[in-house]
Amino acid sequence: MKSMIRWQGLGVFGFLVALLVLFFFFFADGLAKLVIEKQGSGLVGARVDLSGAKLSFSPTGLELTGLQITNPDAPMRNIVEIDRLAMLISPLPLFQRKIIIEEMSAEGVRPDTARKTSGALPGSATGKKEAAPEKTESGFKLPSLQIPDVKEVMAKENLQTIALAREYQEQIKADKAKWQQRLAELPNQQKLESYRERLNKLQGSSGLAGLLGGANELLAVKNELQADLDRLKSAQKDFTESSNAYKKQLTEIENAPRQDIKRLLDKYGLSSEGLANLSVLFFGRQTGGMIQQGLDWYEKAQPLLQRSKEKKGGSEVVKPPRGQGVTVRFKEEAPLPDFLIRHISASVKIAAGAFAGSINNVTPDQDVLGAPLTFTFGGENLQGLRAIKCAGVLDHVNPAQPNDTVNLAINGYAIKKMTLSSSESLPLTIDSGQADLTVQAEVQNRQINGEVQAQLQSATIETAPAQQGDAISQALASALADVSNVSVKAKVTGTLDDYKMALSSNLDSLLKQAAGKAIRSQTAKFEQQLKEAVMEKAKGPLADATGSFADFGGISEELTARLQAGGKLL
Amino acid sequence: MLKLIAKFLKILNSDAEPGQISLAFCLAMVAGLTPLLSLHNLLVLLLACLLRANLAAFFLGLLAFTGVAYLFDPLFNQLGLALLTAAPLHSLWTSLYNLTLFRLENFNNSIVMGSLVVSLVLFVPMFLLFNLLIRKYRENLLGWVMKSRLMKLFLASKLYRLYQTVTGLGGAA
Repeated sequence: MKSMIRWQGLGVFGFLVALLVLFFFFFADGLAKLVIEKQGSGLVGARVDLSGAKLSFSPTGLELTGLQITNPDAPMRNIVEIDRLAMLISPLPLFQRKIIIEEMSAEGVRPDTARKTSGALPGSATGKKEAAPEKTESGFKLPSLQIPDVKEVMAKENLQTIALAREYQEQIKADKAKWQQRLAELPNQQKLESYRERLNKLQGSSGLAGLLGGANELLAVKNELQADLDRLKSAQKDFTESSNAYKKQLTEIENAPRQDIKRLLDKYGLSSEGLANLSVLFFGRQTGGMIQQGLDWYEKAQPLLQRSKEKKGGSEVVKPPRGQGVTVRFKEEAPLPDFLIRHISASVKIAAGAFAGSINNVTPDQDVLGAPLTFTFGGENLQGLRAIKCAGVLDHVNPAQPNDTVNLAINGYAIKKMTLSSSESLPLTIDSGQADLTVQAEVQNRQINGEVQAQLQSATIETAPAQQGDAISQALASALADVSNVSVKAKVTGTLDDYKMALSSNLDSLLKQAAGKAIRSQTAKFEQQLKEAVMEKAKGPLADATGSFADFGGISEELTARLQAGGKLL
Repeated sequence: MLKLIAKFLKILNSDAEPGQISLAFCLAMVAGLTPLLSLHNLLVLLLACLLRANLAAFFLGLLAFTGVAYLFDPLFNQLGLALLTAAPLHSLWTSLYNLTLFRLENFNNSIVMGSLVVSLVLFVPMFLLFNLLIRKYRENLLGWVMKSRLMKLFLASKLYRLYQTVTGLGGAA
C-alpha cells in the first residue's frame, strides 16, 4: 500500500510558492499600480491614473509618480494632480493588514488641472452634474429698476373693478326680472280700481236689508283690500332691503379702482426696501459659490475622516467596498487604525505660485488613534497674492460628535475684472482692487457655523447702465463710482444640507440712500399714469353699473304708486 | 471548455484511486469557495501537494469552485457575520484577532469566515459523496461512455492525443 504522504509534493509546493514569490517580485510594481488605480477609481467614482508605482522592501515604501485623480463632477478635470508621492510604510503592521504610513511626501501638488482625456468611468453617472444648470451663475438677478410701461401693464392685467361691475350688472338684471314677475303677481292698478267699484256699489245700496247685507260685504272687501295692501307693503320692504344692498355694493365697486391701482402699484412699482440688501445680489454669487465649493470638498473628504461602522454583538462591523463582505473588528491589545498616514508634507502649486503645508493623522479610524486630523498650509509673496494661510482641525475622535474647524486667511489678493452683476440695467465690475479675506468655519455634527469677511481696498468699480432713461440705475451707478472701500460679511448657519447665508455690506445703506429719492419720484409718476389708465378703462363699466341700479329703482316707484292708490280706498 | 471536459474525463477514466480524486476535489472546494488569496489556501495547496491528491483534479476543481463561489457570497456573508457577531464566540474571536497569523488570514471578514466554515463542514460529506459517485461511474457508466460514438470521436481527436502527452502530474505519482 502506498504511503499517504507524497514527499516529492513538497518540491511541487516549493516550486509553486517560489513561482508566486517571483511573480510578485517581478510584477509587484505593476500590480501595485493596477490595484491603486482600480481601488482609487472605485472610491473616487472616476478614473485614478498613475504613470508609475515602485515598491521598495528596505525600507518598506511606495513611490507613485504622475498621479491624477479625476473630478467625478467634471471628468475633463482632475481634482488634483501630484508629480511624485513617496511614502514610508511601517512593515510590521502590514502583517496585521494595517497600512501605517509614517511619512508621506507629496511634491508638485496641483489642484484642479485639465485632463487630456475624459476620466469618467464607463457606465457611471460621472459628469452628469456638469450638465445641470449652474444655479449660482444665473440664480441671482438684479431687480428691474425700470418703470414699466403702463400700457403694457394694462394690457396684461385684468381689472377687478371691471369684473365686479359686470357681475353687478348681471345680478341686477336677474333680480329685476324676478321683481317684475313678483309685481305681476301683486295687485295692480286694475285690481285696485275693481276694489273702488265694489266699494262704491256697496255704499250706494238702500233699505234695511240692503244696509245690513252691504255692511258685511263692505267689511269683507275692506279686509280683502287690506290683505293686498299688506302684500304690497311686504314686497316694498323686501325691495328696499335688496335695493340698499345693491347701493352698498355699488359704492364698493366705485371704490374698486383704488384697490386695482394699489395692487398694480405693489406688483409693478419700485420700492427702496427691495434695494435694502443689494450686496446679496452683488456678492451673493461669489460668496455662495465659495461656501458651496468648500462644503463640497468637505463632503468629499468625509470617507477619509470617518468610516461607516456599526456595533453588533459587542464588536464593530465595518463596511468595506461592495461585494467584499463586512469586516468585524474586535478589541485590540494595542489598538491601531487600519489605515493611517501620520504625516504628509506637501508642496502645492497654484497659478499664483507654490506654497507648502502639512497634514497629520489621516485616518478613517480617529476613534482608534485618539487624535484628530490637523492641517496647516501657508505661503507668502505669491503672484497677485501677498499671503495665504489655512489651518484646521477635523476632529472625529468621538464619531458621535464630530467637530471640525477651518480657518483661512488671504491677504493682498489682487482683484482684476471681477464681475459682480451682469444685469443689463446695472452691470457692475470691480476693475481692480486689493482684497483681504478671512474664513472661519466650524461644523459640529453637520451643523455649520461660519463667517466670511472680505475687505476690498483701493477698488475701482465700473458701472455702465445701458438704459439712459433709467434714473434709478443712474443713481446707483453714480453712488458706486465713488466707492473705493467695500467690506462684505457673510454668516452661514444651519445644517450642511440646508444652510442659510446672511450677507451684509457697507454698500447696502449707501445704495439705499442713493436710490431712495429716484425711486420715490419714479413711483409717483407711475402711480399717476396708472390711476389715469385704470379710471379710463373702468369708466364705461362703472357707468353701466350705475345705470343698472337706476333702472332697478323703477320697481320701487311702481310699488309706491300701488300702495298710495290702495291706501286712498280705505 | 472542451479541454476541461477532456481533462475531467481523463482523470475519471484513469486508474487513479477514487480517494485521491475526491480528496483533490474537496481541497479544491475549500480553496475555491473561500477567497483565493487567503492565507489558509497556502495550507490547502501544501496539503494537495503533500497528500496523494490528484493535482489535475485539484486544479480543475479549483477552477470550477472558484467560478461558482460568487453565487454563494450572500450566503457566506450572512453566515460569517452571524458567527463573528455571536456573543458566545466573542472572546474566542477577540483572542484570535490579536494574533498576527489570524489577522493575516483575515478571518474577521464575513465572507472568509462563512465560506471557510461551509467548506470545512462539507469537506467530509463531500469526500464520501465524490468517492461514491466516482466508484458508481466507473462501475456503471465507464464502459458505456468509452463505447459511445462521441467518446470514440473524442479519443481519435488531436486534442486527446495532446492530452495523453500531459500525464505528468495527473497520475497517482
